Amino acid sequence: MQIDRPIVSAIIIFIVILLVFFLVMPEYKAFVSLRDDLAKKRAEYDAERDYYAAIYKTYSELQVRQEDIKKIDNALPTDPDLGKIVYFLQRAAAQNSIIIKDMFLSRSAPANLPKTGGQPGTNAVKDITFSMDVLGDYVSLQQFIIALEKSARVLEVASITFGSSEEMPQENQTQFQLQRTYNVNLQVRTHSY
Amino acid sequence: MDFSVISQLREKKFWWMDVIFYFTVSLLIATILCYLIFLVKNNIQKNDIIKITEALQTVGTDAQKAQEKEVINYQRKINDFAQLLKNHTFSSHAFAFMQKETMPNIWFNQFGFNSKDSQVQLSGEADSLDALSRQVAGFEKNEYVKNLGSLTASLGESARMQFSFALTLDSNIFDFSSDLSLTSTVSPSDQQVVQPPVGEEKTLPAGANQKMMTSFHLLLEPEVVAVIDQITHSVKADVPYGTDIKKITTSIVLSPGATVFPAPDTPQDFTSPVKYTITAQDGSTQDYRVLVSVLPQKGAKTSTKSNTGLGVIIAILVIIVIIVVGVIIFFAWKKMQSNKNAN
Repeated sequence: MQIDRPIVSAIIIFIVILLVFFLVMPEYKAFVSLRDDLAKKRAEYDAERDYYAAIYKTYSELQVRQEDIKKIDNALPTDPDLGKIVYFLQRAAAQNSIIIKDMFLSRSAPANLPKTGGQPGTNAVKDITFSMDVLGDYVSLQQFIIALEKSARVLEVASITFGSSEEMPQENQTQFQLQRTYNVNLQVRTHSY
Repeated sequence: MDFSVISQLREKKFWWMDVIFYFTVSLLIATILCYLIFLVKNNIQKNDIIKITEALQTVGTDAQKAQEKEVINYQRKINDFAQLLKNHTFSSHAFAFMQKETMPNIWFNQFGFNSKDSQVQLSGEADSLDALSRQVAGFEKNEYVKNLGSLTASLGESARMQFSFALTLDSNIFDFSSDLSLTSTVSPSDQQVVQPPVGEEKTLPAGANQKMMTSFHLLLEPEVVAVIDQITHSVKADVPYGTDIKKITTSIVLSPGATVFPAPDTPQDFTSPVKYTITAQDGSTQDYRVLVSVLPQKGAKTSTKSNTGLGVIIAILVIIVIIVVGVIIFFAWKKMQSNKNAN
């Protein structure tokens, strides 16, 4: 059978045009789209993997520095641990010849700290303030305050008030060395989450 | 339109008609090939996407998320703690200041201190107005006194001057670095944390047999922190692509009193694992094996993939060219044959 080449050529060109428009082009578009999706997925995967690798690295470092972490946990505990604070205050007072007459939790409020990028909704640092009336001489009071300031739990003396109505000492005495007992009011502040 | 041309084309045999015919056939084949190639490539890409999606499910497991949560919590806690330390004030410095600056013949009988505004309220007695004026002048000239106010003075019953005033101190005085810190006579054990009433383990002090590597940094730009496995005593670090790892100095933190060989400041060739020996104070040793890996070039895979489309197009063009060349060669061969037959 003789093929009518001009007509067949024309039909083939027509078929080619149809194939290009209805098959090849859509496939090519799908190909480009899939290629982009694949690149995005790969980037996402790489980013997630790198992120969790960095998290793991930091986590491992934290595990190695458990001793330091424990110190921070002690200094800034998750719970107020009021019992431990009271125990420490009582112990420090006893060791420095200070008598605690009375003590009460005067305030518990959010600390005035700048935001440190914590997760939203997480608890902020709270200030816990104790008010105490204590009895003791000047040197003991001084040592007691130093003991509070150097404790592993972050403690600060927010205010100190004391006085004496007794007579002034003789001229050859230094008032800071007197064994006179004072009534002292202290405001001690600590922090927790 | 003159349709006789088509009729002439059908009746007469032109050589270029064969060329057009074979060319269109080859074009059809190339189009079908093109379609098939895209079809296969798309299927491969779809499979790759499914695989990566599955791989993504394996990243961010519950354990990893728990680690992430813990790390973020500690990051927040460390930041808060740093802020607290920065703002931490030492009120005892006020005592040191008073002891240092109080002149003879001045006696204070009331003392009030408030850390919020760094203010000290004082009242007391002075031998004479002259003694009081010298004391006030001394405070005013002091570098730590920002303001002296509310000064009142009157002659008391004991023939001494009774006075009161308020001092506003520079907040730097309460800083830990202030030179006014008092010498503590509190024993170190008393300075330790709040001791729990009942059973909590005490942390043992660093012993002479401790030989732990607690931190290992590669001194590169930027510095690379290695991960230390204290069980297998191995240290692993990944450095960016292209980093020369033949001469790297390190920074190592060890247990107190321990020493390390080779010295951290001696450059090491990390193309193969390097052994670091840590010697404790008691002479016992522990080896750590340090392995440094160079990360592959970032985006290398992506760039290869982004060139895939171009590669496919080039492949299709090459196929078309080969087919067209084949058609021309076939036609030339056929022409030669017909010429031979004619002769």
